[in-house]
Amino acid sequence: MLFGLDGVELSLIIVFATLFMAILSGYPVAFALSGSAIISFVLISIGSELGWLLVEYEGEVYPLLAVQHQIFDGPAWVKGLDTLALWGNNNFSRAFGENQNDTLLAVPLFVLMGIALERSKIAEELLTSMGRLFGGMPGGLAVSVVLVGALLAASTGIVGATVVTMGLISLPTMLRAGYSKELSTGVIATSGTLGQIIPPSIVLVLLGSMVGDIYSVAQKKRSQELGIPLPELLGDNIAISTGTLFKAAFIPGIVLALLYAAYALGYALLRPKSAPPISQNTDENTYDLLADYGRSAGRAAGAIAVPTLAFIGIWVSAVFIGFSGSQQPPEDALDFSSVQALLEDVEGARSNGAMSDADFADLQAYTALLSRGKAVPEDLQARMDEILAGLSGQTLVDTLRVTEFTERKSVLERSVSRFAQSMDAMLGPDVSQPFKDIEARVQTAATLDELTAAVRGAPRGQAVQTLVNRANREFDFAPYQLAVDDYASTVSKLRRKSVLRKFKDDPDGAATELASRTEILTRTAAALLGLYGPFFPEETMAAFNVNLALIEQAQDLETQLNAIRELPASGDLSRAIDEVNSLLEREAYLAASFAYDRSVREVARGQVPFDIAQPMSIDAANLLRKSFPDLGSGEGPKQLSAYFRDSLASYRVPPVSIGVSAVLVIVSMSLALAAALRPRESQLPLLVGGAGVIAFLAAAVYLVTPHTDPWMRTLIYAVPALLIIYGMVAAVPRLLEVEVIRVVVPPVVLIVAVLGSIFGGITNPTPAAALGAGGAMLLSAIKLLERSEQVGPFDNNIGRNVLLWTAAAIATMLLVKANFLDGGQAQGFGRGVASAFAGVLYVISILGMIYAAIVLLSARVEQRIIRNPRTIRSAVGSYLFSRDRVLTSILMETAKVSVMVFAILIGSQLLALTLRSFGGEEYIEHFLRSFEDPRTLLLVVMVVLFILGFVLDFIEIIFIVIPIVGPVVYGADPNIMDPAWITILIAVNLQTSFITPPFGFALFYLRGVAPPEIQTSHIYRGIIPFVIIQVVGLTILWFFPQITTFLPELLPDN
Amino acid sequence: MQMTAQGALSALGLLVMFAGLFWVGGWLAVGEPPKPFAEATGFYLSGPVLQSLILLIVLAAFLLLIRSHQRSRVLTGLDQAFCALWTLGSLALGCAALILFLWAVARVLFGLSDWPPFGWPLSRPETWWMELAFGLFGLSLTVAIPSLLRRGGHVSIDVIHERLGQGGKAWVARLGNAALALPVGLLLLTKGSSFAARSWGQWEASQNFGIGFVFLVKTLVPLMGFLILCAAAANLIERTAAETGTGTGTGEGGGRRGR
Repeated sequence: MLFGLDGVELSLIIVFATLFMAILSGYPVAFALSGSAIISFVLISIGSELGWLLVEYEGEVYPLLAVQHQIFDGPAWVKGLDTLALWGNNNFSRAFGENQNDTLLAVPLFVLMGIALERSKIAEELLTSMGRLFGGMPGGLAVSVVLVGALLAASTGIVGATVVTMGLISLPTMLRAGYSKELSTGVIATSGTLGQIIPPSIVLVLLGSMVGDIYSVAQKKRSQELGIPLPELLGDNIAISTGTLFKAAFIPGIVLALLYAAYALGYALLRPKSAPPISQNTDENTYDLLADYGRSAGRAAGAIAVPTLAFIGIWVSAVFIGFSGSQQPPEDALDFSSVQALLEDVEGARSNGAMSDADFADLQAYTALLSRGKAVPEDLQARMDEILAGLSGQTLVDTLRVTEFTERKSVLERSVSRFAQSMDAMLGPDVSQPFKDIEARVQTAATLDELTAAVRGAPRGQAVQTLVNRANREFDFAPYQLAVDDYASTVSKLRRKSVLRKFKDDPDGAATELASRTEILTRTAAALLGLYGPFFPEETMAAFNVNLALIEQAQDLETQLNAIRELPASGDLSRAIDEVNSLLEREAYLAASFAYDRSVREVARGQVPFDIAQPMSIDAANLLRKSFPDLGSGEGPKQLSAYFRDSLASYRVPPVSIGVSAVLVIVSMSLALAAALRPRESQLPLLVGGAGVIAFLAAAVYLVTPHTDPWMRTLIYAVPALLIIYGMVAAVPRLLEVEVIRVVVPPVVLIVAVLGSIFGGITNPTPAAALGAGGAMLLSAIKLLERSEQVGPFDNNIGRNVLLWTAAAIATMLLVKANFLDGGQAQGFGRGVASAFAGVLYVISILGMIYAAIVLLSARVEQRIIRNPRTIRSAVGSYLFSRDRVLTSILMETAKVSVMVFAILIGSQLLALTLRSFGGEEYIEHFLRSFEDPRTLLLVVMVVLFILGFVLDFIEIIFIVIPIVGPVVYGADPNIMDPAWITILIAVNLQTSFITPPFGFALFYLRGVAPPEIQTSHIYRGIIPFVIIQVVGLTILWFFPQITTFLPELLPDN
Repeated sequence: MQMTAQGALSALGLLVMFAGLFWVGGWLAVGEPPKPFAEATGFYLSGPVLQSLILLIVLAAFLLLIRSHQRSRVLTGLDQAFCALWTLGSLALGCAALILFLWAVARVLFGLSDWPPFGWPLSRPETWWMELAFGLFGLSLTVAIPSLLRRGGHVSIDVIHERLGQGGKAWVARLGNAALALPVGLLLLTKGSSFAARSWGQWEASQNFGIGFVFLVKTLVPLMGFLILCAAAANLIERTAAETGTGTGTGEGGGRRGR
């Protein structure tokens, strides 16, 4: 032992010293990570083989790698290299076709969305118009920078671009207006980093993809250690997704933005000369609101603010008192929704006749009536009594048990069979026989009790681990691949017909060749068949036997060659060979042993139903189990039946859905605002629109239920909707006269579409990002057409209208989908019509998107425009490979940013494998577990992350540090430390490191574009208050985790 | 720099060289391999070892034997090739984004599991499209990671680097390319060749109605290794040329300075 440190500790020092030297050398981080991993591995291998890196094992001292790989009589580093080789096999498989993690695909899509928006110059327009809006008040410019920062964060999420853009546009304006250099630089650098925390954020996507896996694995381990099933252990915290993180980060992001704005305003109040109001330019093209209000700002503000605030207040009150809300039943209790979810999940209840489709439709109608407090017709009540008695009694429980049995048996069969096969191949039939016996008993089991009996006394736990260790020690994996390669290359060489020409005139040579070939083939085939033979199908073995006999008996080369050519080729054998190899690969049989052990334990213990089924079933089963501990006994079904009926009777659906009320409030606000903006113009169209809103609301309350036929609903809503459209046609042009509305609305619509689809549970982040990227491209093309001279094949106005209609087609498509196609609302012919209409809209959308791409392709980056390309073909053909087109420049920049992220991800995985190759991962995990209080551990981790943030970028921290500390931090009880809360704490911490002197990235971005009079010291001094705000924010988050958990609980994942 | 016909040809040349090396690493061997359950006897060189030897010989010969103006021509050719590959990678990314957009609309709005809808011409299942998008993204990564290495576009930490003198920076570039990037490329090429060759051996196709050319996608792993080797070697050669006063100055051999 060198310096009293054992081999693992010294190796860890080698790895981290090499890593930091490589990273800090200034060589690209991606290669510093992977390269230092290789160098460390080489150094550790040398140290271990030379006996410098030693560890204690069973009372003796051995070289580190020998103990780690259980090889005491040969070079153990070769096995270590196998671990590193997993880099190619495992991690690249993930990126290149297997085990894909589609959440990661959201990264390039969000990057694409951000860069497309950045190129559309939305940031510049936002800054200019917000500056005009707020600049008149003290500290107003700083507030506008914060607001724009938050908006850009929600729409683009690209920190560098945001800081640079705001630095270029706002900083000179603020300095000219007399703002202090410190405040100006501090607020710009900090607001630019909001993109890291306000969703959709690349940091959160990366964290989500990584933390999701770590959390699942860590909690499974904890569940095994405690012997408590996972669903019971975790309850609602069964999984963590990127969507959950987006929801969790939303309020903290807004809170931070508000803290920045509050600081700016406070600064302006205390030091008015350092953040003065700016004089407003009234240029002729700017809409002059005050002219209509006798130049009284108070009156104008009152006319605008009072109705706006009133409508918001009305809406919030309506939601609060339950007048408007989700018409989906709540999921936080065993009420209608859980029973319904259960019914939907256990389709057996319906398919087995326990509940027919007609019964289900009756149940929905019954629920609709009950939940609205309406009288239920007698015949329906009688029918429902009959259905409920049959459904929620023994039938339901039986269905649960049947489903549980089927699921368990299938899992057990798979896991036992796989483990038995592995043991058979590696340790022989003596060892595998007990497992084969269990497999046979499991296969014949017909009930849950028989299944439990089948695994009673089965080897598990330590016994299984001992077998796995023995296989590791005793089994030599190398011959298998060699035998396959040997056979493949031999047969491939000996199949060539050229041998006949070669020995045509040489009978002696031919005889020698014949004998030699027989010997080689017999030997190689014997090696192959000895190892793989038992796994080959019968017909393959027959082909081997027949042709090998022919080869031995052949008297001439031609006969033998024909027999050789009839031998099964390695390609034909690949399936069986792969199957055997998969049994022999260490990761695979370890997984098989875990799966076997877990299944046997679960069944033997008679665990609760559904912990191996789908998450929805798990939720439903959990709720059932919590409410009815004696579900399986005689009283359970009765209790369930009574509870079910009570739940239905007491549940109340809000009269107006949240979506309808939100749209009506936005319409009302728009109409009121339009009236306030043009008080002297005719208000009749706006009043008609207002009447439409009232009529729509009345129809929603009195005429429409969630179960009204969609065509009937459309008919009911048609007249009020037409009135609203009439009003909005008059209101929209008035609204668009206001610059800030004109500029803010497009990105806000995009944000609402992307975040709304995730928060609303309509989709997960990857499709949402794809839609966002498409929307951003559309928006960029529209902006380009508005700004430029002639671009693309059509006149700009026509082109812009085409794209606006495309946006309208997409929105209409969404409406058709939500109102007619979701959940089988429309049926029969009506559904066909709706589908066809949506299909036409889909085709229009695609054509529109293609046109947007052509527009972006025909414009140069520097606004130099290609005039009238004659055909689409010429536009695409000439410009596709040209780097100065807007589209290609967007794609290239996207590729660059995405590749930087993924290169580091790939590099960090090699580093993790190096740690694994000598047991470093286990050592760190063991060390971290020595902290008894999980919060203390988290605090330590946060401090470490903060310090690392001084020198490492957030991507490196996520990919290097989180996998190391994650298994312990995320392995804590989620009821004490919510995983989303931990992740958001980490994200805010990383954001803080981005602005912390002396190495914060954002400070460097800003320094790069700041005018010469700004010195680094100004930036450093300016940022310090914001770092303090971040620390305050972190402290608030630490003590009030509800800030992060509130939204995910309110809007659970579907 | 625009993508030129010259660049496309150079890129094609690189791909042909890769094909040769891939064949060597995946299928070729010299001598008799050790038999199952037996000690190794006689002379045997496996494909990956041969691959590494060929590469080292080529690199050494290049550094020792080729004249400086010829080196410059080779560097220019390599840069043109990387430029072409970079464009290809960006377009692949664009195609992946387009596919994902179409998939997302089809899936989210219509709940379609096939696109175009089942029964229409060219209709493919959702899995097929997703895997194609992954493959295209993989292609984008494969060509863009080495291209960025050559163009100095990767992110790097400049805390110490910016305080180094010219000599120190030259050493960082030299050591970085030789000790960090080259081994990574070599590991990917050699290990990736066997990984991909196994896939070719069975014309591996995806399960569950996915793409039928998984073996091509897996070949991207050794290809990335090969291109990283080329980029790191080009950076090294350029560094050597710069020290002898014959540099072309087309690449940067370092990273995008983050700090």
